[in-house]
Amino acid sequence: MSDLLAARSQMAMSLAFHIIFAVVGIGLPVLMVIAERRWQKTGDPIYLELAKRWAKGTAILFAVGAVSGTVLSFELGLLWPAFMEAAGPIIGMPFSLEGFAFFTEAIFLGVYLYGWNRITPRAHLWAGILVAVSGAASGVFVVIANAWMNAPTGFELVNGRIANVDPIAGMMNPMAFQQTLHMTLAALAATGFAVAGIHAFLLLFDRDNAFHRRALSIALLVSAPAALLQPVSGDLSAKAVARLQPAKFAAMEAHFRTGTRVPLLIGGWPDMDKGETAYAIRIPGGLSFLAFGDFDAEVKGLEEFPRGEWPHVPIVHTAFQIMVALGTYLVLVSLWAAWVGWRRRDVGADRRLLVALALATPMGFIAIEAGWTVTEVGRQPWIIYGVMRTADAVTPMPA
Amino acid sequence: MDHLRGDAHGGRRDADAGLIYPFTAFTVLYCFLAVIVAWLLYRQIIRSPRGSEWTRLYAPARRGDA
Repeated sequence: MSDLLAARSQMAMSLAFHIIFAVVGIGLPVLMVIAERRWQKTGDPIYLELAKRWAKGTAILFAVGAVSGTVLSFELGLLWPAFMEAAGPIIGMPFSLEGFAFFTEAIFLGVYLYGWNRITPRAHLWAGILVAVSGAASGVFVVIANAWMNAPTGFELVNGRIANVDPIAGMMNPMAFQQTLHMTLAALAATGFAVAGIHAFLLLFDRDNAFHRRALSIALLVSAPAALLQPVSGDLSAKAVARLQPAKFAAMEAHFRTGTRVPLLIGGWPDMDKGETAYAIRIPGGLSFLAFGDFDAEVKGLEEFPRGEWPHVPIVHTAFQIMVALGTYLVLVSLWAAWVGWRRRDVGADRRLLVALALATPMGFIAIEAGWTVTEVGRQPWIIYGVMRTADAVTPMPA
Repeated sequence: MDHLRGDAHGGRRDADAGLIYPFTAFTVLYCFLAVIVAWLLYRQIIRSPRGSEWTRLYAPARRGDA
């Protein structure tokens, strides 16, 4: 294994680990606050128990997430010194704001955990709301830094070096809105479905357990709307990628040859040497329509780019298909749960729905890992799209 | 940094594979942490309340709906 591949693997593994904790740190406080609010309104002690347990869960995951996040911040500098030298003046801004949000979250999580009998109920609820808001904000700031790597703005290139930096313009980059929206919704959907799935599974064996039933209802209240909005946000992201990173878009869709009325491929295995994708289902004009809103629009294929600038097409395409497939499953389960709830039936007593929910437990997280694989592998060979190659950013120090 | 950059372009980094060691070490560490976290979450969060005051708190399902 070359040092470049080892460095990339270590970074990938650290990010894959950390993202789980970051995502739960965004989602779980929302569930916790809803449970506390319901306890305050109804006086039902089960809601209080849920709020306390979810707060404890937030605390455990927050602690591990803080450690894995610290590891990542060191890895950015130690594994990718040339990247940090060039990009630091720009992404330093969102990272410092992330630090601010992180400390706010830590402070109010402390207030929440130890303030149950020490502050007024209203103040306690607000402490929980601030944990949820600052958790979401820290995610947003980190994703803005990543969006800048995909769509770098806010500087000038002078002799191939980044100069005349404007960090605010860097934060306002054209991928920032799409990526932060997609990630925040993903965090709510993944956490909500993981919690819903676990309690749905336990309800299969203990159908009258009020604890699991209340937990399931709150988890679905958060996860189902997020999952239903996610295709809209995904469409916005895909359209931006088609415009700003056409090579990544072509790799996601395993689209090799430029053309009009380009079909949308479902499944299939891309062959990078032949420039063909075998075994795919083709929907005529589908890709042209999804990318540009016109069935006859031209979509650039990978052939437009030098071979050295292609990302690894089978990995990107497969990861993209996995993300879309799992997202689609979560949309269908959300619709099913909404339909059962709308007909005033008991969601917690519908065994087939409970099985479908239990199966969904890991899906949001797998979809997130797959989605980040698309984002990161799809940007290769660039670490800063069009500006710096990953191979030029890696440390020259052999461990 | 320029001396480092010169080295980075020298092609030496592909020959050395020293970075495999931190990669392996962190992979093992994260696997270990994952097991600990999963166990903690199960113990602290997921397992339904067992305390005596909780065993009576049941909300019967509306039977016949499913």
